[in-house]
Amino acid sequence: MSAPVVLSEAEVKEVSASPAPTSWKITTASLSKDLWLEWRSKDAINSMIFFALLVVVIFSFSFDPTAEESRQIVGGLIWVSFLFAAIVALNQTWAREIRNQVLDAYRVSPAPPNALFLSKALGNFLFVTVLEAVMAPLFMIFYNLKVLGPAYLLLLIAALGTWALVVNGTFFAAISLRTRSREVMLPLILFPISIPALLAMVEATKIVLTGESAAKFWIVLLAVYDLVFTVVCLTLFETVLNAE
Amino acid sequence: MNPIPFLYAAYIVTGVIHAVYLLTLYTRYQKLKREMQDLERK
Amino acid sequence: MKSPVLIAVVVVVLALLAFGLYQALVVAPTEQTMGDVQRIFYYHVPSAWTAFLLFFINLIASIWYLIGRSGDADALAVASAEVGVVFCTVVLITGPIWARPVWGIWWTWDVRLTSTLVLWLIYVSYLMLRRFSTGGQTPLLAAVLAVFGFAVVPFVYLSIRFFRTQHPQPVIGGGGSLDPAMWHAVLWNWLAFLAFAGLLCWLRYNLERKQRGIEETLALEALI
Repeated sequence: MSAPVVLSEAEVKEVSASPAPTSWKITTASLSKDLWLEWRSKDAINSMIFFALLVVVIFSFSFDPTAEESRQIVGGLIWVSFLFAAIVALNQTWAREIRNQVLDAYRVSPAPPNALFLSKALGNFLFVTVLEAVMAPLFMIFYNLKVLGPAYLLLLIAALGTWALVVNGTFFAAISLRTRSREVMLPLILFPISIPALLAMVEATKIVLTGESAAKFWIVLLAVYDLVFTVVCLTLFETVLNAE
Repeated sequence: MNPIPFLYAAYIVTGVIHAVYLLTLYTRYQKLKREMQDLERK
Repeated sequence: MKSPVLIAVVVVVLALLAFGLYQALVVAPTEQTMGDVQRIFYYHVPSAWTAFLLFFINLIASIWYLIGRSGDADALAVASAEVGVVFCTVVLITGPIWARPVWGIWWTWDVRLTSTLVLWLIYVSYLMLRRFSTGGQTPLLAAVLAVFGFAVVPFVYLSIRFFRTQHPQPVIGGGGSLDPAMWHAVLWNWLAFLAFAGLLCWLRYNLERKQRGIEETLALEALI
C-alpha cells in the first residue's frame, strides 16, 4: 500500500508497518503532517490572524461604541471576523494535496476517506481555535468588554461554533476544488448554509456578554447543528472525494 | 397611504419576473437551435 | 419545439392564469381591514407554495441522482431549482410590497420572510455552484449541496423563530378563517401557478437534455 501521507520517516514506517492501519491512525498521521507543515510555514495562521486583526480595527473605528453598546454588537462582530478569517484557512485546506496529487493517491488507496476528512476538519478546527485564542483578548481591549454572564460558557460556544463553521467549510472546500475561481466559490456556498449556526453563535455570545438571559437554547441548537452536519459530511465525503 | 398602486405593482412585478424568465429560456433555446444547426452542417 | 401538445399546454396555462387573475381581482371579496391591497395574497401565497414544492422536487431529484447517477434526474434537479428560484423571487418581492402599506415597513426579520430569504440564498448558491463547477462532476457536487440545503432548513426555521420574538404576527395563517371565496381565488391561482411552473420546468428540462446531447456529440467528435 502506498502511504497516503508522507512526512517523517517514523510516520511512514508506522503507517506502512501494520498491514491495515486503523482509520484513527490515518487521521492522526494526516493531522500531524498538516500541523507540522503549518508549524514550519505558519502561512495559514499568520494570514488569518492578520486578516482578523484588520477586520477588528476597521470595525472598531467605524462603530466606536460605548461599553454597553459593545456588549450588544460585539457577538456579531467577533463571529463575522472569525468567519471571514476562517475562509482563509479553509481555502488552503486541499490546495497542497491537489498540487502533489495526494488526493489521487488517497483515492486508489484502501484508506477510508472519512479519516482524511476528519484530519482536515480537526486541523482547521485547531487553526481557527488558535486564531480565536489570539483575537479574543484583542476584542476585549478594543471594545472595553466586561463579561456579565457566566464566562465559561463562551468557551463552549466557541468550540461548538468553530466546529460548525469548520466541518462544513472543510467539506465545501473539497466541493469548490472542482470549480472555476475556487477561492470565491467557497464563501458563496458556505455562508448560506452557515446562517443558522452563525445566528446561534452570535445570539449565545451576546446573551453571555450581557448576562440577560439563558443561552441554553442557542447552545443546544448549535450542538444539534454540529451533530447533524458532521453526520451529513461524513456520509457524503466519499462521494465528493471520488467525483472525477 | 393609497394602497392600490402597491397592489398593481405586485401583480406587475410578478408578471415581469415570469416574462423575464421565459425570455431567458427563449434565448437559450435559440442558442441551442443554432448549435444544432452547426452540428448538422458539419 | 412547436408540437401541438406544447401549444395546447400553453393555451391551458394561459387560460388558467387569466382565470386566476380574474378570481383574484374581481371575484374574491375585499378584505375588511386591509382593503384591496390584500389581493396581493392571491399571487404571493400560491407562489410560495409552488416554490417550496419545486425545491422539494429538487431534493428528491438530487437524492435520485446520488443513488442512480441518472442524467435525467440531474436535468430535473436543475430545472426545478431554477424555476423554484424564479417563484421564490416573486414571493420575496411581492412580500415587501404587501408589507409596506399594511405593516408600514418593507421588511421585518419575521420567521417566514427570513426563512424564505435564506432558502432563496441557498438555491441561488446552488445555481452558482452549477455554473462555476467544471467538468463532469457538476451534477454530483450540486446534488450534494442540495442535501445540505435541505438539512439546514429546520435550523433556519428554529433559529429565526427564537431570534426576534417581537415580530408582527403573519396576517394569514394561525386563524385559518379565510372566506370561502378567498380560498377559491387562492386555490385557482395555485393551480394556475403549478401548471405554469410545470410548463417552465418541462421547457427547462428539455433544454438541459438537448444541451447534454449536443455536448456528448461534440465530445464524441473530438474523440474521433
